[in-house]
Order: sequence, then C-alpha cells, then structure tokens
Amino acid sequence: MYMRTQGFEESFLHRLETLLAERHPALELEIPNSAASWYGPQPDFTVSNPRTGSQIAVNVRSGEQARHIPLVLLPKLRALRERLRSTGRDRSEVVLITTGTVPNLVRDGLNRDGIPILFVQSPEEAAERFGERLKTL
Amino acid sequence: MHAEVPIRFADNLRVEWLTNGLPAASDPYAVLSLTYFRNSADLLSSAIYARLETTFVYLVFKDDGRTIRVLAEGRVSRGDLRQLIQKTEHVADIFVRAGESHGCALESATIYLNAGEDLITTGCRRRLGERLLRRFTETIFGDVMVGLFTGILTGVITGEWLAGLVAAVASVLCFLVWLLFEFRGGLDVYAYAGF
Repeated sequence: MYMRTQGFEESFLHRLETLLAERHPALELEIPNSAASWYGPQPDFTVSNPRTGSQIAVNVRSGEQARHIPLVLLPKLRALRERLRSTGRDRSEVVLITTGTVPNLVRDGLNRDGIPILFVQSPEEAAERFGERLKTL
Repeated sequence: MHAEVPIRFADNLRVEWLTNGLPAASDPYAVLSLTYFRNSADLLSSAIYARLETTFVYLVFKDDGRTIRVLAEGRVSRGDLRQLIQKTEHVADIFVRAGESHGCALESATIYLNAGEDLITTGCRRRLGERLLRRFTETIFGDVMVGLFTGILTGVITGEWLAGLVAAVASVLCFLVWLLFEFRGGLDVYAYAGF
C-alpha cells in the first residue's frame, strides 16, 4: 500500500517524529546530518535512551519510496547495524518501517538477521507499534 | 553503480524457461563477490543465473512465482552510466522475451539505477501502444490542435474550406510521420524519469 500524494513521505516522517517526541519525552530523537554519511550508512533517524545508552536506528520507506524496496536495503541495514554495534552499543537495533510491500529477497534476509520490519498504513500506527519497542529501550 | 530490475509477469513461470538457451552460467558466488552485494551471500539461495562478462556482471534472482530480479553492475568503468543502462536493458530484454515466449505476459519491468544505496533514476519499460498514447496525450494541444486550428484558420481566411480541411489533415499526418521517426528506436523501450 502506498500513497501517491505529493510530499507524503515528508509528512509521514514529520508526523512520526512528532508523535514519538510527544509520547517518549525521555528519549532522544536524532536525525543524522549529511556529513555523517562519511562514516557509513545512515538511518533516517535514531531514538536513544541516554540513561541506558541503547538506541534504535530507523529506516522509513513510505509513499512513493515504498513502491520499490530495493535489494540494496539489505546490505545497507546490515552494515548500519554492524556500524552501530561497533561503536560499543551492543543493544543497538535497526528497524525498517514501511507502508509498502517488501520483496521476498529483502524480507527473508532481514528476518534471517533479526532486523524487524513494521508494515504500517499511517504515522499513527507506526508510532504506536514502534512505541512498543521503545518501552524496552 | 548498479542496476536492479524487477521483472513481473502476469503468470507463474518456471526457472528453466528463463535460463534455457543462455550462455553457460558463471559461479554465482564469484559473480556476487564482484558486486556491491558481496557481503550478502545469503541472496544466492534465490539466484537462478549468474554471468561474468569482460566488462559487466549480472545475477538473476527469483523473488516469487511471477517475479525475477536482475542485478547488474559494471566491472570496469563502473561509473559509466550509459554502458550500465545499455547492458542492463539488453539483459532485461533477454529475460522478458524468454518469459513471453512461454506465454507469460509481462506485467512490468522497471530499471532502478543506483549509486551505492542511493537511487539515481528509474526507467519503465513501455510498449509501443502506451508510448503512442502517452505521446499523444502529452502533445495533443501542441501538435494535433495546432494542426486543426491551422485548417480552421485557412478556411476562415481564404474562404476555401476544402483547402482548410486539406491543411488540417496534412498537419496531423505530418505529426504522425514525426511520431514514426521518434519511435524508430524500437517498439518497446525504457522511459527514464527525470524526476
């Protein structure tokens, strides 16, 4: 399922970030800047708990972007998790949130690696389902 | 840079339909190790064909009963986008024709060109009918309506309505001839998005 509305991806991400910030004020939400890409693959945003040091990196594919989930997402998310864990945060997780259909090749690979995929229809649903994971962060 | 081409057919298809008659396959592991996906060896469990050529490598994966994915990458001149497009279109067409020759109608084939993890552009395979219709709807005012108004104005100004009709028909015919010139490259081609 995807939405063709212009700017859907932007509004989806903005709404999701707003909801997460409202519902989990104790957690830190960070959007990596473009210079960070020198250090390897970057998520769309990370949510971290400054008290425990745990963090979750989130990749969002919504709207037109979700029409095609590329194979390259597989090595990207794997490399992202490796990079985060190499920084000493062993509890770092990577999550894919999407409004589209994930190809079997990508889905099987992510399942094998234990990288969760959240299939959602709206930012509200994404915030609710992702929020469950944040409770244990 | 690499290209990914999901090719979706209307019906389920057998792997041997696609791979029979192709040049001898190369070792999929060796091919994958030359690509951006070298650290994703688990993909090979779905590989149905791999080919190592002098300047180009490609792998074909079966994604579900109706969909295959071609992954193509240059070995030399890795930044040569033109070569990557030409080779990828050629390889994709081989598998499209193989499926169609066994009665599986093509549903969609789209080339996604990537620089690393970033998407550069996409190219959708369009059939002649789709291209003609699209071209016609895009330029109906620019070409067809101008031709018709030329005829009407000719009729109004000269009072010769037959001459006006001839002018209008001639304009539209010129448009159709021009379309033929535009489409001489082939019946089905990939149309790339300019975003």
